[in-house]
Amino acid sequence: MDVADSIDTKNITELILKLCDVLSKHNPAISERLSHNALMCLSCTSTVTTNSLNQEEYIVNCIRHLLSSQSKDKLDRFEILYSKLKGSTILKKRDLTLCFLYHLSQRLGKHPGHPSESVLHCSTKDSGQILTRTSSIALSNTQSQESVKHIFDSRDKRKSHHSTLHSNTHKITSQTTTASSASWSKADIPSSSRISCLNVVTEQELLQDVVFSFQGIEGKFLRREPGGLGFAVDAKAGKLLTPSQRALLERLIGISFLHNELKRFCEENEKQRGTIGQALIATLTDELSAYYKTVAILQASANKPPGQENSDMTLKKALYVMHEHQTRFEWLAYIAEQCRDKKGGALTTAIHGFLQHGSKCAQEISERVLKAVCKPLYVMLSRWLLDGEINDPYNEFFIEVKTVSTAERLWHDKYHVRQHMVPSFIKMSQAKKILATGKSINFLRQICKDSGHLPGRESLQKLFKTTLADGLFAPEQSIEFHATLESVYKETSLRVLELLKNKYRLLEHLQSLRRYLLLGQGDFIRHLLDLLTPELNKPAGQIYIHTLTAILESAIRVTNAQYEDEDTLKRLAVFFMSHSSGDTGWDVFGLVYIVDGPVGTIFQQTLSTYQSLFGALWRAKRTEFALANMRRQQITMSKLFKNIEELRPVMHLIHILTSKMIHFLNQTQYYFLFEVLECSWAEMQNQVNKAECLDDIITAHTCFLTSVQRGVLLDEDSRQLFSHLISIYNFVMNLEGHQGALYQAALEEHEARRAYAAHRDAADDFGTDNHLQKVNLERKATFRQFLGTTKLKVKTSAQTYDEIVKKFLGLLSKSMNMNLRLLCVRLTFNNFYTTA
Amino acid sequence: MNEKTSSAKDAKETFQCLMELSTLLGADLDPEVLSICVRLCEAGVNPELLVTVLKDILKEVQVVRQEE
Repeated sequence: MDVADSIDTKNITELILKLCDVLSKHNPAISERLSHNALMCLSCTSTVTTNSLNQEEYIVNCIRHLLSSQSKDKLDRFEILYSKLKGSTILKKRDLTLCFLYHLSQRLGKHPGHPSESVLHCSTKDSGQILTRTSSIALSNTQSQESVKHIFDSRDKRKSHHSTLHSNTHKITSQTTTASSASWSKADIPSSSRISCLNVVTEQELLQDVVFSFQGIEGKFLRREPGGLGFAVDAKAGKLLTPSQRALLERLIGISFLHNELKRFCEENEKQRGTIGQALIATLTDELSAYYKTVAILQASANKPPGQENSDMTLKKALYVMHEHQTRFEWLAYIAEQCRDKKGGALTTAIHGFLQHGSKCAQEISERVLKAVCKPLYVMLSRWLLDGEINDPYNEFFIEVKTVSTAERLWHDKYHVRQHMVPSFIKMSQAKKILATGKSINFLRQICKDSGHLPGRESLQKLFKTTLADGLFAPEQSIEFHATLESVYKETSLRVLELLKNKYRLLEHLQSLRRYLLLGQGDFIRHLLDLLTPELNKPAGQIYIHTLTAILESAIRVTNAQYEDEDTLKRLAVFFMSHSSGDTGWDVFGLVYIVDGPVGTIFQQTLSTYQSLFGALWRAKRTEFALANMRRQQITMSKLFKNIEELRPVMHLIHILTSKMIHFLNQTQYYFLFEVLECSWAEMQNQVNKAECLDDIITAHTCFLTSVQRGVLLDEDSRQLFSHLISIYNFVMNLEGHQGALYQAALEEHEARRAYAAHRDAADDFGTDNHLQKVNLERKATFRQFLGTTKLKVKTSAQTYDEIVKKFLGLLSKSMNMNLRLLCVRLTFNNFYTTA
Repeated sequence: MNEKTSSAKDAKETFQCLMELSTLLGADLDPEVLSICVRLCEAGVNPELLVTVLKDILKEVQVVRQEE
């Protein structure tokens, strides 16, 4: 026997002594006798070793059987107690204890009538009956009488020594020794039962309420806040709660509030939102169902009857279990709040903002939401970039479609970027490129009827297949996405340009416009003016378009324009503006160049500009032409009428004025045609050659037109200048009229004089015909008078002309435009017109 | 410290259970007696023998009382 066993034996002995002491009401005499007998009987049992599990099962079954024969309630109660015992770590030999209790009850129940059976008097048959399974022990019981006696004797010997110790150990045991024995002492029992009486509200009840509130259902302690979304602890029922319970509840109902909030958001927005909104709702619903799953698990563990394993769910545990959901819900609710009343791109922008958040959790959640939300956007984007189609019934995409009246307006008006729908992860320049790419596809398909294969689609298709929606915003993937976008944009644009330049002869059209509408083809314009002058001098009402068309054609046939392309010539036509009374042909005549088809996209909207430009240039040209004619006539006149002395002063005046005008017009024409037109043209050609997309060409062309408009004083700022210019032109035409009248009068005079001289020479009366002489003199007088008035008119008009030119120059010199100031210098290079 | 109190609580609970069990089975034992008995069981005493001994002691005590 080793040391441990001997100690055990000693323990048992002591315990038995104590037992006897207690039972004998501390009567030492009886106690000693009893213990002597008891020890004899029991001391050997320390060697009991049986299969504890089997025995336990056996005993439990016996007890069950016993109790079920009595009442069902008792059986149930036993089950509860037994499960509690199972969970206890204090009892190491549960089987033995149970066996003890069972046999105790057996004895009391089975033999209540004859309790006088004495085992101590060695009733071997009885012990043999009961202790069938421990017969060996029973046998050893009798066999080892000697050894028991020995133990007892030895104990007796040490009795004096022990009795002193006994009281000590007793004290120590009752005070501390092990926690278990202390708690089993009598004093503790009432206090523990008192606690359970006071604690009216159990964790189970609260837990049930909390689980309800997690699902938005009111319970016994948790009531819905009136008018709010959250829950509050019921005032009445809450009185029973301890402060810690209340605090826990209040922490837990925060989750319920968030749940209700999210649920309401989902319900409210379920119907009215577009696809992107739906994606948001779906993500939220996913989160909610994950949450419900957790709640269900919580519910299951809360519902488990006490005593089973894992049933110890408490409020604190629930708080821990729900913590993750709570933080997620907090962010989700925040995101949802930000997304309220937003849709499409604006919604993605709102969520994208959270991606920059410092909190890992917020980042993770917003990324998840953003991924889901971007999916529909991604699909839309892929359709737009690949096929140029927009399937956007809820106006969520950042490109919108409008209906356009004509095909030419498709490029300009049909598609637009919706500024507020552009997600923040797509830059405005990128959005414009996306717009241009899809627009180009539509342009090619609808306007150019080009159904050919588009370049660069494979890479894009591959990209859309391989990457997910997060390619739009995730920094790494978005680089690839944007690079592909860029290349696709470039290739598509190039394809459009190529088609326009080669198939639709864009450059040739530009050239023709320049030549015919902006008077680039000099010989043709000159000839046309020549031919048109008689016709256009007529009142506007008497001119017919077919005669003009015939004149145009003859002008084309005669000049270099005949070598022009057939197609170009067909497009050239005469244009008639609506006229009012008093207008001459000059006021309503115009040339047009008809452009249609895809290139019309560029030119259609600029046709009115071309017309006004043509009007201004045509007018200048006509004035220049008129001046040239006047100069020619003056030379003829000076030769023809050299013997009409009276004509000279007038002619001198006219001559000077014409010279001034010619100088003026030469300078302005030079400025218009070379400095403005040629320079702008060169600039535009440069731009067009560099152009990467159709928009570049359109911009270059518009720039060209505006700069020409500004150059020929047709823009808003130079309205005053232009009106002066027009009045200068009018002076020229006026002077032409005067000169024409003068020419007519001088011619008549000249004829009359020649006739008079011839008559006089032929009559041989030496000019003595008084009547004729008188007539001659009268005519001369009228002629002189006419000359006098004409001279006066020319003089005054010369004066006003000078004034107007001075004003014009004054305006020019004050102009902001450097070129105009230079023009001013050129016009008065020798300070002929001294400006104030 | 914590462990100790928890084990004390556990012990208390266990004892309560045992108390209830003994009442349930109709053995009206004094808590102190039960405590000692359970400790005897824990120490490995044969429960059936213990029951017998207990019965005998009770009977003896009764007899002594009557004599007195």
